[in-house]
Amino acid sequence: MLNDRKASELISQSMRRELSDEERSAVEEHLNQSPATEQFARLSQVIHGSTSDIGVLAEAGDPSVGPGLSEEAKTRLKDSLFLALDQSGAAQTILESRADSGVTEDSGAASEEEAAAAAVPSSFGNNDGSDSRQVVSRYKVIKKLGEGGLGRVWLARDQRLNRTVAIKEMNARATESPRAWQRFHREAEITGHLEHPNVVPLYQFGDDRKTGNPFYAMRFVGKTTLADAVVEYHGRRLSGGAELVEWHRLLSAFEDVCQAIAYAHSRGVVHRDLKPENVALDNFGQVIVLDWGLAKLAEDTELSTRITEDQSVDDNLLAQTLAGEVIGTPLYMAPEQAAGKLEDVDERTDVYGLGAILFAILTGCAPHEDSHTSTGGNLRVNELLKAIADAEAPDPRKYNADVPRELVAICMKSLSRERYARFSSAKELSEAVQSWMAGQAQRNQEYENLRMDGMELRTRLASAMRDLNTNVRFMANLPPIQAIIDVAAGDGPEDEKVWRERLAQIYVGLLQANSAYTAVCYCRVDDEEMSEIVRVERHSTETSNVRKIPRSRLASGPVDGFVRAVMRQNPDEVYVCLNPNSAHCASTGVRAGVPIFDERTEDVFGLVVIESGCGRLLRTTVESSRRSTGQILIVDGGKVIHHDDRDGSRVQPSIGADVGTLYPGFDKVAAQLKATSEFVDTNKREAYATTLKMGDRQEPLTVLLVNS
Amino acid sequence: MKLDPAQWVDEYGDYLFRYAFSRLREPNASEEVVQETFLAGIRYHDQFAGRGSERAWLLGILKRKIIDHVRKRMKHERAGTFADDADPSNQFFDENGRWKDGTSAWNVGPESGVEARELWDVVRGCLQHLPAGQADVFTLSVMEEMDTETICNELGITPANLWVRLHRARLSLAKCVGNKWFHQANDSRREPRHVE
Repeated sequence: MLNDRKASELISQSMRRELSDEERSAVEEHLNQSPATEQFARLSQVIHGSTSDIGVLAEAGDPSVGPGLSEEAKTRLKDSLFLALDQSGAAQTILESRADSGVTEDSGAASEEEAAAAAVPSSFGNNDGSDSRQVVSRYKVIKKLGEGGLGRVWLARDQRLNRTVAIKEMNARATESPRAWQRFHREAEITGHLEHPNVVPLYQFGDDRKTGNPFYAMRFVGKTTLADAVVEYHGRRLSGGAELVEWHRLLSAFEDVCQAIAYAHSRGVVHRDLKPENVALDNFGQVIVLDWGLAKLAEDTELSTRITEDQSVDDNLLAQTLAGEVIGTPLYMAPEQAAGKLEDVDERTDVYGLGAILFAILTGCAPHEDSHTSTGGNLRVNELLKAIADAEAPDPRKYNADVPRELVAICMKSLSRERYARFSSAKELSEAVQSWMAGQAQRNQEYENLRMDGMELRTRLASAMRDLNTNVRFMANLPPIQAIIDVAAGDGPEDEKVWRERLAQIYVGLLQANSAYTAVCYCRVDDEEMSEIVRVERHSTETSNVRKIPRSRLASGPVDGFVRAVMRQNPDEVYVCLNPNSAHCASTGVRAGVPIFDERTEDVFGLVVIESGCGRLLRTTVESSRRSTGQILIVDGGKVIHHDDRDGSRVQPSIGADVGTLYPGFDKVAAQLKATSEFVDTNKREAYATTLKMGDRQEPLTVLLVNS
Repeated sequence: MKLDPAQWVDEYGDYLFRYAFSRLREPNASEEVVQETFLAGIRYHDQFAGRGSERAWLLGILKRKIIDHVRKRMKHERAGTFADDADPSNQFFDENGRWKDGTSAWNVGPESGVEARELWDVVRGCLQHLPAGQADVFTLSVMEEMDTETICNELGITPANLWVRLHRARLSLAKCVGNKWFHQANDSRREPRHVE
């Protein structure tokens, strides 16, 4: 048995579907017993019939079903249609299509209606054809490049001019929104009016013949954006494989963006949506600023007159877009935008946007990343906007400690919360970066000079060391050497003095020919006692003065470690050592000695020593060709053994000092030199270092050049 | 023949508006869908093959726009309130599923002689008091004669939900129309119409 409730449900259903026999008989039985239910059934039927009748009458165009449009509404409608016609430029085509088709009124109405219903995209429908589309007027679609809220970007071939183009097409859903419509038109118009190498050239604006969606064709600039390049560079930087030159490329792209924006400002256009995603980079280094759909036109400019006259573009509507719907990421947004102070938006808002792009280039992060991530990315958009509006300029060094100070200052100035504290124009910002880049170029040149100097110094020092070895061996093999031994043994045909004279004469010639040498002497060693036989030396101040030391002034005394080491060498084996206590040179001396053997007894008789000094060696090897103005340090086991400052004068107090006190980054240098023969400072470009093997010593010397 | 939007509006505006108003019951919404229809007509003019009448072609677009509008309206209503779920059954039935006293005083009869349009005014007035989600489902179902599956797909609801909505709409309409009609009938009995 049915009750009233169940019966009424079945009655309702009976008006849309056939009841089963069982249901129908149950309802009929119930109706007989319940007049109220029967009344409900009849009333529902009447209501249903009335509604259905009105539906039919309305479709048939019966004016009695209700009022028509008011006059005001008609005027409004007409205005909006005229505007749309103007925008699409469709009037002419409509005219043509109608003329061609030979319109026959009222025939095939149903099929026309069906076709229309099927063709008009539904807001939620999937009938937009997506990738299957082949032709957009004269352009043959190749593939989809991307898709955004407003529409899609296609790679296409312009079949008339046979070239590749990019086509931005507004999608059907977006065409439903007047705001999106306006934004799309605005973008095309502004882009078309900005003729600049860094603004994408627009080829054509029109409506797709097939779908009716508006589109514009522009130069295809590739898919890579500055955002991609930034991510790639910083990814490499964090893994230690980034090249400085890549970073400079990013900065140079940034300058181009500044130039494009400065140009736009000069035409009265403020971009308002600057972020790395809106900068395209083509394969040949060209930089293109995209997405001018939210741009603001300053009043009273020639461009604004042209555009607004044509289109009556409603800037307030776009402003609402900015204020109401945050398009894309707000992570690069200026505080005045985030605070919704649209009247405050001007060129300096773009300066902030540029600063935000610079921030991304320097750090790999967006400036408001912290506001976003500190809360685990859970901030609602309006909370994030509030955080941005209240935030102080972020410090790039928080994300990347290696950012040069000058660039940090430029970036932070651009990102000042208060507009007045920012650069007053994109041009000014561009100049600041340019000037830093120019300085950087000079620094690069300086570093290259330093590096060249370092390499040449090493080569020349190595060559000087080889010469020293050769010379000391040669000086040990002169005939007077053995003659003096013979005379000492009472076996010489001539007086020892004669031989000493001859030897001294040759030594004078050696010192005169090699200005790097400070002394040369021939010594006898006997029972731990050393006595000079011949000594020729250079005057410590009058360096051209080379003199023979008279016999009465020749030195003698106990042998030192150097002499012992030389005496242990085999014939013609040279022992070289550094002598920090050299009396003859202000920097560390270099001594090279070779043992002398009595040819008859084959016992060690003494030694020949040539003394030099690092300073003298350096000056004679580098001075004439030195390019850089930095300091040269020669380091032995972490201690400075020679130090030339920028003007080449000697710095006595540094000798023996720990090199870390003069150049704090030496640990890094030393670590790298263990693996390679040179240290190139690719990052800061401050120092260059190389090693120099010296005689038989295990530990090579380090030649370190530091840019001032 | 040159396209003249003013002429378009003059020629088809009232027709499309009446059609939209019969389905949507609100003048603003109706004007909006008519505007969208004309705009789409301009955009998709190429698809008008010219075989049929322009009016029928525009009506095809309008029907789509009405469904889109209804879907948006329902979505909006769902997000904002739970009015769709308002169940009037408890006002009508007691716990045993019997009509409550008073509610069953349906006033109906062909003898009332109410004109279809007068009745429609009453029905439309009553539809406006219904949650839009119920009224729209009822209107689309009855006027457009759309099948269950199509309505469910277009509006994103389940068949069960559709039946519930329709039944609730019919109950509320029956009560509302019955009451108004009853009063009108009483009024007309008390004050007979004077024909001048």
